[in-house]
Amino acid sequence: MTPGIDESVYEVFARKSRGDPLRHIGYVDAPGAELARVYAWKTYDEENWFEMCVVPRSAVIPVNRPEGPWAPNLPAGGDGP
Amino acid sequence: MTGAGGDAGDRETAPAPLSRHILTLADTKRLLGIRYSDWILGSPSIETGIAASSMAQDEWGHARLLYAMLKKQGFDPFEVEHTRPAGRYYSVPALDRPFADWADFTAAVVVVDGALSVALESFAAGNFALARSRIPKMLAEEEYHGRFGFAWFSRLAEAGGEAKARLSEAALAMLPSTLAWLLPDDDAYASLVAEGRVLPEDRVRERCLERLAAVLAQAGIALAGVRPARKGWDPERRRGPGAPGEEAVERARGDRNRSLFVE
Repeated sequence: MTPGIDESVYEVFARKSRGDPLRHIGYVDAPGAELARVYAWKTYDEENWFEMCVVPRSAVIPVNRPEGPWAPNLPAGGDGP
Repeated sequence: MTGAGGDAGDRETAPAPLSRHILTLADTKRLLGIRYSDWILGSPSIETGIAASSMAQDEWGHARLLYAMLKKQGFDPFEVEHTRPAGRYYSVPALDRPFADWADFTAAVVVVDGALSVALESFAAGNFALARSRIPKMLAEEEYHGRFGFAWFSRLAEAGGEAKARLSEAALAMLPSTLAWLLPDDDAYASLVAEGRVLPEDRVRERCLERLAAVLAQAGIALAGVRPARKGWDPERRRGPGAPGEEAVERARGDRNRSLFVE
């Protein structure tokens, strides 16, 4: 009955205090941005986060390492120096 | 169980309106937590199961805070939490049985959890000090329940076909008894309104429509046309006939751990 799962990966970033840098704390699979927000908040709730963000993995563009989970997002001809 | 405003464990004495109100909120949260917990495994994805687990724990934490409010009403919260039979539970009828499928789960997050949030907003806006101080944090945690419910409801509705039909069926099955619970047409609730404990009925009805009408419309449900189910109304328990299943109540009471209680 549940529609086929067509999920995307969302990277999760958070900081504990206002002045802290955002840290990559994990990822969630979700069928859309709204559920990604809920899943991230409910999955990584071990800290009292000041701020949390999710970013579609497809939006992360690697800069200096063309391999790894973000390799598919490299722009054409952008496979490194 | 002692109760200046009544005794929730003794059928001969009805609880006072404020105590009844607290009991129905707390019992509904406790049962909702049990129904959510049934889907920690077997929900559509690991992340969904984690969210179900977190939501279940939220509901139980909120229930405990609400039961604690009964202390100043003359009740022993321990006895209220751990000794009542199923027939003395004040929870909404939509939670009497386990959810049959994910459509039931999703409909309950929107309809039952949504109605609970509306009831809590109303209680927090009244003049009962404990509600004014404790409920806002509950509502902040409930925000994610709402987002979860609305996102899943939209997803199933947009899928159309069997998913949408089953979702609509599940929500329509829960709505009449839940609306009657949210807006009881009885003297006890009227006295709560008169004493400023909760918002007037028209404000609660308006808030319910604001929160639920648009999302339910996605499944073809016109909320304004749904009639509250008042047949067989039990004014003492603020609900229609029936009671939660014994297995759920055993879990709610913590029967298996009874010999380990240290509080």
